[in-house]
Amino acid sequence: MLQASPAPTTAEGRSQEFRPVTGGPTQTSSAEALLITAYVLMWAILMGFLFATFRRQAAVDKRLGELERALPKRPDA
Amino acid sequence: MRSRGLIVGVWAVTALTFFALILFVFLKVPEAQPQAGGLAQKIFYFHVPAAYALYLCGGVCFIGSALYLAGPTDARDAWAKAGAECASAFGGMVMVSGPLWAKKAWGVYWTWDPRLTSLLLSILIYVAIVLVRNFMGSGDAERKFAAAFGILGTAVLPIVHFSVQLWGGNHPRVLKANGGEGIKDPAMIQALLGGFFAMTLLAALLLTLRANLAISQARLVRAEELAPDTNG
Repeated sequence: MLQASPAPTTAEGRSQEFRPVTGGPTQTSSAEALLITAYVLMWAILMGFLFATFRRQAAVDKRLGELERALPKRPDA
Repeated sequence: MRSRGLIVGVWAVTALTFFALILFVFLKVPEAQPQAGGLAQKIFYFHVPAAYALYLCGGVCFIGSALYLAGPTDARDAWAKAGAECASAFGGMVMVSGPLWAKKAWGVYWTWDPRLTSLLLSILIYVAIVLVRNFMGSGDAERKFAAAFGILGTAVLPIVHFSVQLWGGNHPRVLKANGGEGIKDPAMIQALLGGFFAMTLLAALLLTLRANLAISQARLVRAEELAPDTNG
């Protein structure tokens, strides 16, 4: 059970004093949460990169198609 | 048509490899000691291969850039550009996964360790190349400027790699343990090798996609020069 003396109520109090507590949490970050966050972010970067690539390729292909149709046909073509 | 089938096949193998690897890492690979991050150490099996993929893409950027400076062609420029873009993407993966592991193992997300600092510098160089190419156009001067930057970015990579041996720091060196035991568990080694294999396939695919895109963009620029009245 966390035991603490009354917490300071003002911003000045929080920035100018630290009060000891006993029985506080020994771990500040969960390994599971960090692991899952890392995997999710890595896959999000990869998927975002792939999505941007396919989208841009489709836009370039579309514009190239329009230009190729608009260009006058060469007599030898 | 045949090359399209080959690419689809490589995509399928890559996706299956990643799927199998994730299952293997979560179900079979044992948790590391608490000082190494405990469960969070499992980030390592994708973090280290992503860093290796960054080196691969940096190498492609270096070769493409050097060849472009020696004799400019659209294809050489496309591979240099693709290398820098993929190196930035893999750099992003390394930079988000590493600090999350560090938070558990070191208690902080970031420290100005020689490996972390030199890697950040290298990634920023690749990001600078991407920004230059996206926002300053694709003229010959911009391409040459980016190529020079591509050579510089990859020249930093050996410094990144050997920074731990040269200057120490907090970053682990389990792959070539210096005084420690390295990786002892066979499942951990298998997972890491699987990660290297999967990231090699992924890097090859991404590089091919981005190089094809860059070549198409160069074709588009030339086609627009020939048909200026079709804009819009």
